[in-house]
Amino acid sequence: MGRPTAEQRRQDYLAIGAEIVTNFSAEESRMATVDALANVKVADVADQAGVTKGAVYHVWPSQEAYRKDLLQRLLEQSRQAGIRELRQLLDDPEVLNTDPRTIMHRYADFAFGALKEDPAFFARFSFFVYAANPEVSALLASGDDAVIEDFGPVIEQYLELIGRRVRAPFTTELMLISINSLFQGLCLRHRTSPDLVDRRIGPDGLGMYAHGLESIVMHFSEPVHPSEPAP
Amino acid sequence: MRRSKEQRRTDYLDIGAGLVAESAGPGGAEPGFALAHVKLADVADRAGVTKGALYHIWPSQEAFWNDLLAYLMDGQQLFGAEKLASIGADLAAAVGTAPTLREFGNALFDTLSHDPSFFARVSLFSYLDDDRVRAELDRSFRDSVQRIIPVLETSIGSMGRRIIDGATSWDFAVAVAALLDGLCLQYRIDPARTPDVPLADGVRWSLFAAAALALLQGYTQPLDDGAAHAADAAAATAGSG
Repeated sequence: MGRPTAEQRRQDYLAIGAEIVTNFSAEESRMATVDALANVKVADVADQAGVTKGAVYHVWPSQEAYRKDLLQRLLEQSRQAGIRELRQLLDDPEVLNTDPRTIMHRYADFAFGALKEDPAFFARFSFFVYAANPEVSALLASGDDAVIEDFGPVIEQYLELIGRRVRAPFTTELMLISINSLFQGLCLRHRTSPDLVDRRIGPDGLGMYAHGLESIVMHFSEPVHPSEPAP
Repeated sequence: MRRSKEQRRTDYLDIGAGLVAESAGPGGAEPGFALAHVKLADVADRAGVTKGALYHIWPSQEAFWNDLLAYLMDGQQLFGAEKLASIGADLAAAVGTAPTLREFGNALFDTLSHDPSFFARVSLFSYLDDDRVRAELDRSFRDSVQRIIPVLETSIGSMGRRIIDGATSWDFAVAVAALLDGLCLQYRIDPARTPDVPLADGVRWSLFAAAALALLQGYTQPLDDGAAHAADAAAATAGSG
């Protein structure tokens, strides 16, 4: 049998690479660092800041430490804008005088509009390949936990406003995890297939996220005073 | 005035966030963002050759990533529309009838949340600037949605419901697929984040199945709005409509 050709070898090596990508194991990823931010080099940061690398290393002991902080920062950004908007809507007396459901619809449109194209928000998704690394999964978890902590009281305030409460055995946390998951999934799919996601749904023409959010809120909750039989 | 260490820390992080944004922007998508863990040295190791043998083919690590990305797009390793379709078929064969939304939801979630190639695919979203990647992810998503529609439509019919005005089966299936993506990512962070929901009926409800039912309620209405027991009546004649 002859020596494999260069092309055969090329294919073999690519197959090994694909194997590493598709079957990236927890064991390997324990060794992996926050490689997905490998594009962000401390040297470039220093360059743009007009300082020496040493100045940046004065703040972080290593490039690795910088990247971890950066990931946390990327996870933070998006949440803060959303919660600000929702609190404002809930505190707006004019909105309260109209149908309170419009608060959620307006919030949902705002959040989806703000993040569906935001590269900083999307950066998180490239970290899931490293999620078996306990450090990375802890970072990702803390980002999503913060969403739940921040939005928990606000969604309860909203439920009270529409005369409902979370229905056992559902919890506020499960409601928010489901809503957040729908949000992230719709953002992902909007990137590849915007025409499928940018749709107005139902007789009120709600955005796809607003409509889904309302569906989850209603199904996971019940009226506080069940005066009429359920439909 | 000299900025405090904390201020400088924030400045440097802002710059980093800017670099991430740039690398996701037009023309800036550098290979290595999501494939960074695939090192030539490791490939050489597994192949039992020297790194030099690989550098003989690719001039640099970047060149390898570029080629690898194209390879992943051409091959079918990452994309599971066929797998998705087989879940519905296998289930129907196992239960002997059309699976309910709950059964289908549980099976979808269990399969995808355990599939490493699903997460590899998600990580490729950082290459959307590459037209090959975008087109392939778009195609595979449409394919997946199309394949779950028949099962969802059967569930809707068997519950005596129909899609609301102003929406289509496609809209409903897109929302369900997006929810599935999001919940699988939560599972990947920590399985404890997506516990089964102990509903009173004593059967297993994955969180995905429960939330998919929420979407079904929102996307559908009883076939006969007026009759109180329309759903029950229709369920009894499921399959004929």
